Amino acid sequence: MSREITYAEAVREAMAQAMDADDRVFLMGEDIGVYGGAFGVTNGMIDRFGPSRIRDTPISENGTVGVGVGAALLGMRPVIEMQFSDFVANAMDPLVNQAAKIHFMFGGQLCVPLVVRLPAGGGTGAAAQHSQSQEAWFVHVPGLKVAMPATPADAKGLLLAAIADDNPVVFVEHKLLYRVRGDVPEAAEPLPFGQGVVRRQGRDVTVVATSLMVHKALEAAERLQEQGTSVEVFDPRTLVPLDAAGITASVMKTGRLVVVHEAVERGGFGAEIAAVVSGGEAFSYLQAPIRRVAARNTPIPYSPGLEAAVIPSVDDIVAAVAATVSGG
Amino acid sequence: MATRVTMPKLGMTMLEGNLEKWDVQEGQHVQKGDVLFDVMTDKVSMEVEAPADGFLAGVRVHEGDSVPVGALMAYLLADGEALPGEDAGQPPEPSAGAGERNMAVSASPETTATPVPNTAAPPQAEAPGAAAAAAASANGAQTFGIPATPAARRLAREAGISLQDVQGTGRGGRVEAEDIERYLAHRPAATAAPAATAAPAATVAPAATAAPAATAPPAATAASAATAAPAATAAPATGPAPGSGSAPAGVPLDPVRRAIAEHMLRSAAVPQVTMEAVVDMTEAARLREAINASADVRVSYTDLIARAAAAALKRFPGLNARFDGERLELCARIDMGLAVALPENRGLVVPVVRDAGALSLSELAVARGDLVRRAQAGTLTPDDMAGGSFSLTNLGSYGVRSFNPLLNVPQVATLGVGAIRAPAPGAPLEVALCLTFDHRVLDGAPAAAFLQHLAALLAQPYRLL
Repeated sequence: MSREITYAEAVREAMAQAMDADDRVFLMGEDIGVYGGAFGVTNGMIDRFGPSRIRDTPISENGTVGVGVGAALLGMRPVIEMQFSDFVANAMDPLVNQAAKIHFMFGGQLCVPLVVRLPAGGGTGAAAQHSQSQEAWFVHVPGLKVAMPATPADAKGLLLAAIADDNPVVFVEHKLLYRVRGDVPEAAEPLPFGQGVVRRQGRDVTVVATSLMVHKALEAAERLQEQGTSVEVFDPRTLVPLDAAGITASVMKTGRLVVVHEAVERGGFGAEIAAVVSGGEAFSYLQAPIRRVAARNTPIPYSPGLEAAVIPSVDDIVAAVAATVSGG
Repeated sequence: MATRVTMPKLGMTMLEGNLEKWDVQEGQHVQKGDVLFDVMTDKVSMEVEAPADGFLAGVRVHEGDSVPVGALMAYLLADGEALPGEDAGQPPEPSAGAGERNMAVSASPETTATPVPNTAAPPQAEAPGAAAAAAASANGAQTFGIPATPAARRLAREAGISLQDVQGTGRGGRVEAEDIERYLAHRPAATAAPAATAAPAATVAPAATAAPAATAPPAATAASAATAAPAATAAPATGPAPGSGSAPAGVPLDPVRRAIAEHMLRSAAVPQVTMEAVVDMTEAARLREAINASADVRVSYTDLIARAAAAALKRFPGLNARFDGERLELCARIDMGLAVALPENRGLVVPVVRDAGALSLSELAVARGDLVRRAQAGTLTPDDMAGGSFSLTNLGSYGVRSFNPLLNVPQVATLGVGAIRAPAPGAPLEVALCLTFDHRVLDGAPAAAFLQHLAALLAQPYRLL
């Protein structure tokens, strides 16, 4: 059975069901208790699970994630919310140098079943320190898994899988997705990592998009359809592990690839996808250069007009796809 | 200026050639047109001429090496000239015209009759660094320097065609998959060799369609394999691409056909005369019947006429000759070219029966039968077709009464044979023999005398035994 709920509700439901099922699961974060979190994701959870499992933390991400790593090492399954994904910069040492590596440094005797949720992305007028898309930072750290669900159902299923995973998982939630509604199964059904999904079937070009950009890509595809261009939209859902086979199969079908993400272009995950495609079986099927649509290489401006210019728009995707299909 | 010596493209499907041997030592001087090296492609060995005068230097390919088409093999240097800085991968500046540069990259068309096609590629085709890329690349180098999408390269590889032959319509002249499909749709069916009375030429080796090596996509941690098998891109279109817009009608000739066309043009430049004699074949028919009733070897009219022509050429050696415009070579031996139609309209080849004058009728029939079989099987070698001194072409089996064969230059005479027929019911069998000769070196009287002698031999063919 499923019903339509918001992305935020889906995330909340996943956490609540995981907590119901497993006493070891608990939440930490800034203002997640009575306040319900900066984006309301944990609304009401403290009433149900109490302050020992819904733990408000000081404004010290380094400390919070460090505590989470310790708790995980001792057998708990903490889920930590960064109030804004940007703040995870403060927690890089426990996350990158501890959580990601302990399993490997101790010969597999220990694991760190930690989830760090990152409300990410711009478009909110929140400027440079509250708008970033940092997924590439974590993709580059072996030992971390990275999920970027684009729909409420994926958010629930992948978060359940992340909490059940014995590895540390960075879970990226775009802030503008929280109010997006969609059908979500009521049951606690985890979704496998490393399995992308074709959001829209197409013939002429593959658009691989992540998170919020999946929706922009679908809108662009709709518009391009009117112009006679058939766009396939592929959502990898998790970046680590990545469904390289799914992307490759799609590109071998269409012969063209446009990668769309909200993170800045330089060093972004789009380059990784492009390399996976051009370095693999799909190479010989490419009919045009691979294009990336990504944020300009600049901090997100506060000015709404400038912010809109920096972040990829539907128009940007339409233009890039049109240029790619015309062989440019 | 140093002239680059590169692996020529000797056939439409040739991707690389095996250097059989250098015919010239490093440091030795050659003149343009001298045989420089021998190349073995899939089935055929060929001599390649020096594209210019010079000293052979900077040899980087050794006998037995496989060399991609277009790859740099050596240089020809002027006296005292230093090797270009090839380590920088810079080909010599194209101060010469583009045509000359193509020559330097090509084999000499005169001997191979399969010249490098005029590249339809844009100027980037000879971009700096291309030589290094070609030399470094072991495969696919036939397309070096030609901008093309990976998909177009794959399609071209699978179809066994060269990107050089395809007009790119993408940005900057880039060859795209559609261009390959359009090319394939318009390409003439013919893939084979020379036409009637064409000079010795190689048969075209079958396309070696190298399957692209499938590399597994790099799997991140534990990527799922649950996705569907890849679908192939569109198959080549079977008809002309609709709406090709303002593109000019028609397609360029494929390289083999172009070689034939050039050869025919050279022939047509020769002042030549065709004269026809009608010969009584009654006795020849009777003789042939008697032989075929008793002997193991079946003798055809072509064998009889070839045998007679060889006998007549002994008496008239002036027709058994080669003339290159300056020097007339009377050939000591009668090496008789016999035009053979290839199956499926793939053209004609002219393999040569060696020393036909020394062969008996049955030996000649055996030799001719062997050449015909191998021509139709596509297993003739360039040697089989090189160096004829006289040619014979028989269209009689098509019911052609008589025709006007063009000279197979540099030979000075060609004999065309029409249908053997009775002009009226009950009348004796007869055939039209059509002799074309080069009027620069022969006059009508000796040619006619040859024809008259030939007619007499056929009228009393027992003298041929």
